Amino acid sequence: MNSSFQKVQDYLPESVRQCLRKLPESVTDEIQEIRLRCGRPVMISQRGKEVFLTPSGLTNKNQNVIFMTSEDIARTFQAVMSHSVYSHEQDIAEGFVTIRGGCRVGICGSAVRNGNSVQSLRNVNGLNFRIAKEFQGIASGIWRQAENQSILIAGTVGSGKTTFLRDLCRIVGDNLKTSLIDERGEIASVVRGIPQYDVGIMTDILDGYPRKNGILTALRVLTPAYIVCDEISTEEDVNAILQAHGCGVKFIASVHAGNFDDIRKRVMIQPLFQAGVFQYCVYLNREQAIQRVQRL
Amino acid sequence: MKWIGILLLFLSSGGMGLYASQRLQNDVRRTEKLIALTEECSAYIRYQQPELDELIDILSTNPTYQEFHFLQSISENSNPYLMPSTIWNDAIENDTAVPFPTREILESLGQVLGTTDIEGQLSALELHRIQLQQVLSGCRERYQKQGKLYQSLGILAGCMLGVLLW
Repeated sequence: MNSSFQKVQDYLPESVRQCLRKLPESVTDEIQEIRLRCGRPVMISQRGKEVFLTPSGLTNKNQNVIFMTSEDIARTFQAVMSHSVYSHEQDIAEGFVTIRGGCRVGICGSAVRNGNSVQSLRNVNGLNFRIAKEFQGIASGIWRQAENQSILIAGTVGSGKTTFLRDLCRIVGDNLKTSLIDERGEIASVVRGIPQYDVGIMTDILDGYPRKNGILTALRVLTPAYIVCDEISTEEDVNAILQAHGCGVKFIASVHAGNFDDIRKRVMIQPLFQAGVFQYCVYLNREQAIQRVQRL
Repeated sequence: MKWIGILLLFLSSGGMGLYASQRLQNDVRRTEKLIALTEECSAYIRYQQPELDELIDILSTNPTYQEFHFLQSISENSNPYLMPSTIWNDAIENDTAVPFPTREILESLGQVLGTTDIEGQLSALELHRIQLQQVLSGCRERYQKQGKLYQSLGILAGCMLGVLLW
């Protein structure tokens, strides 16, 4: 059974845990998300489809389902926070927390605003557990094709970019000095200094660093051959990558894209293409498969 | 034989006086340690922001607090889905090393730890530190007043019993 799935269960209400325990391994291995909503049934995303959780298994019908009370949600939220709101202030404001095992939990609630920014959340009404997966070897084909090149991994939400990036990091990190900028703690899932996933023996992990700071710190003090980072999303990230690229460091990074053509159209990452930072682009589709590999 | 009996009575009576005095002294020393514990919690939360279970682990392995078993007990029984305040209260109640006057304060601290942002945590810790400081003043005063009294009473009671039996 997927170890992340087992770890997620520690955070769930007993009623949900009991139902999940009854599911066969072949089913649990395919679970991508567990969604808890206040006053509504527990839903499971399995191979891209939404189904309900019942005491007798998964079903498409809204009958005999497990409902979540506001108390269930509140207690699960506290568990997700490790009962330490003070150490997750930023995460709460951003709407997600990464729990042990590298699984990301999305939080829905009423925003407490400070001007234009979200300062915190109150009245949490829903939680979405995204099950992290580790498939060793899925990126070896790409690495053979694009060895010692910079690689951009693109895909839609839930296409497995992080899983792919983790394996690529493991392969590169076993061969070259690599710095992993794990802003959300999803790739290596470091717990008390020890990565829970294999990200390579020569990989230095900058856990929780904002991407920009992590890239520049790695560049200054870790002399990496490769820098690996997840989800380039701001102009600051792009500028930091350009700065490191100028110093001869190679990159493996991921970016959101609806389809392959979208990647080239995204204005924010245009400077990266213009500067020739990436030599290869891998596009992953919704079925979590490599749809296209393109030399840029 | 009579002399030995009188000597034993004297020693046990004096020992009881010393023990009672020692207990008061222990209360002072342990309350001082609990104040240091709240200060250390504040420092960790301010500079490292460890999660609560990690913070408890750090404190439970610190030799300064080895005599308090509640930290170890909380660390061993922690579970993501269990409210730490419940485990905390049970652990405090079962720890004989925690001075009686500080128990309520520590239980109240367990209710707020981890529930607010950094600022809230630091304020709560400061408030509990002040309360512990007040308890410490009381303990010191009690030790100064009653500590010597217990010692003297023990020795005097021993002498008196000796005289009465002789």
